[in-house]
Amino acid sequence: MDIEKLAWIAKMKLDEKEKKELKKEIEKILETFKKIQEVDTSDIVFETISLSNTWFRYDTEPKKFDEEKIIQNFPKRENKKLEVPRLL
Amino acid sequence: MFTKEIIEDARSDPINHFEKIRKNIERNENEVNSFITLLLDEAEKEIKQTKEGKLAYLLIAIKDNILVEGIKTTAGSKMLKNYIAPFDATVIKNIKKEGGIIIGKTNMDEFACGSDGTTSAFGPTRNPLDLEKVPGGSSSGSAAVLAAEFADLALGSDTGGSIRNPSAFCSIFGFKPTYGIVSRYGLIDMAMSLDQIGPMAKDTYGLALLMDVISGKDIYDPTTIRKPTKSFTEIIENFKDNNLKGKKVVYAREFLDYTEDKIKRKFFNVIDYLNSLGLEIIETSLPEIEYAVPTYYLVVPSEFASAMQRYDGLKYGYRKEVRDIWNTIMESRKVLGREVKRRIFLGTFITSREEFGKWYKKAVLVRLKIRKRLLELFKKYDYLVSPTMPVLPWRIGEIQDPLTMYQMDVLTVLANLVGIPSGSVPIAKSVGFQVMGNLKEDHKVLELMYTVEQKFSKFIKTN
Repeated sequence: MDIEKLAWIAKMKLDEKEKKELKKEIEKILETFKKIQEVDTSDIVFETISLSNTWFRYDTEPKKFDEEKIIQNFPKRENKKLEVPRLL
Repeated sequence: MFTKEIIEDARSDPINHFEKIRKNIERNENEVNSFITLLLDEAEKEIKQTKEGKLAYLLIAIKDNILVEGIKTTAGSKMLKNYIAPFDATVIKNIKKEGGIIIGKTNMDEFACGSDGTTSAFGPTRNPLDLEKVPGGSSSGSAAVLAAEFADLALGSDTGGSIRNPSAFCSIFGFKPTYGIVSRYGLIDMAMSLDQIGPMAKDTYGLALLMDVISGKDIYDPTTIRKPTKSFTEIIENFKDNNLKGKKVVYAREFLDYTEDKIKRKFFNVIDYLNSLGLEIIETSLPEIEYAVPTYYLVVPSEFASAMQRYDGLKYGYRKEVRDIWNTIMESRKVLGREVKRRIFLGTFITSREEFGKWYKKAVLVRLKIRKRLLELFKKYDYLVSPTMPVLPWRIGEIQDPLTMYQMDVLTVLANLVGIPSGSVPIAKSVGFQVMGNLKEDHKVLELMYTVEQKFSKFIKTN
């Protein structure tokens, strides 16, 4: 398991100690969970979730949210200007 | 007090009722740590207004991963410590419409990742029945507020037992409805194919009352289904024990292999009682249970890692700004707790292109196999029962090993993997009896819970 690559995909920064510990823990978890490989699933068809209940949304205009309520949670702003971190 | 007495007390003198609850909170909340946000001032204003509806003047505590407009919603995480919900979850809208008053947002394991209430960034919740012990999780605060009489009713969410586990440990009632009967719109998701919002109360009647209010089809959640035509409270009120005569109750011997002896004895007391009422008791074998925890803990992190991508400090949530956008995201996400990180890493790994077939796809196939097996079982039997938790509450901090903690969910994850309704009834201090039923047979599950309650749950009045 390449923990560095995994951290990059997961957008997580870990210190060396954390990396070592998490790697060890995840390997132990997978070692225990590998028993599911022994289950015969040849009679089962793969589907991500059985969504027999699901229906399409109504073709109507979605409800409108109060703009102020939405942007109140923006981490950094000045009135209606939203400040994002530097791209470069 | 039980729910009907609570309703009488609240409606005859709402202010006095509120003051009693306030006193309980002021006296004991410091020790229990069951709320993240207390709304006493807001509730006091509300209680003075005229309220109408099924929940008029009742004080309701809400797990802190369910959005209440204008109120902080943290999901137990520092990542959302300043997040103000911009709208009401559908369940909240329904509660307000029926006159319910929100008393506070309850403590919980961070993003619902935990089984004992100790992973919250706001400190662990303590079990009001024994402050040294865990209250169970992840809806730890919602269970604790009822046990401590800080609220009349509560809402929790259940992905693998998060309502039933703390209900058992805190000796209250908890119910995970059929997947789709209650809208998840406005719930901060952990694993959307398993999550379900559900009621917690001091008795089955309280569960039924909340189910009447929160269940039903919602245009904002396309997985929701219509609510049953008959109300849940009506079913409970008209229920007689002999309605269940001849019903078939099955339990799996493998459930008991995981269970402590003391809990087993309590479980069999209930089984004997049900038998004496004329219900048919059948023992069966369910070897699939061995694979339930691994399957669950492979599916959950896969969905969770994806759901957690949105917490990057850019649009909302905690932001630690550094030199550029990429490092800002990485630094901001450092604030997440250890169990959350563990699940994100696990989920990211098993859904990677190289590992997907071996882990995620296999787990989904095993989940479908378990589902098929259980739904076949319900063609022959009416109920599947077990203890809710295999052990009694442990000391806070006693379990540190993630695998040991995951194994505590062994009896509760089945219901979520299959989507069936399941509830926990307290049968002794910190011991729950779990009832599972077929899809959309929530009312039947509540009927059996009510039967067990009549004989075994009176002790909670003297807690």
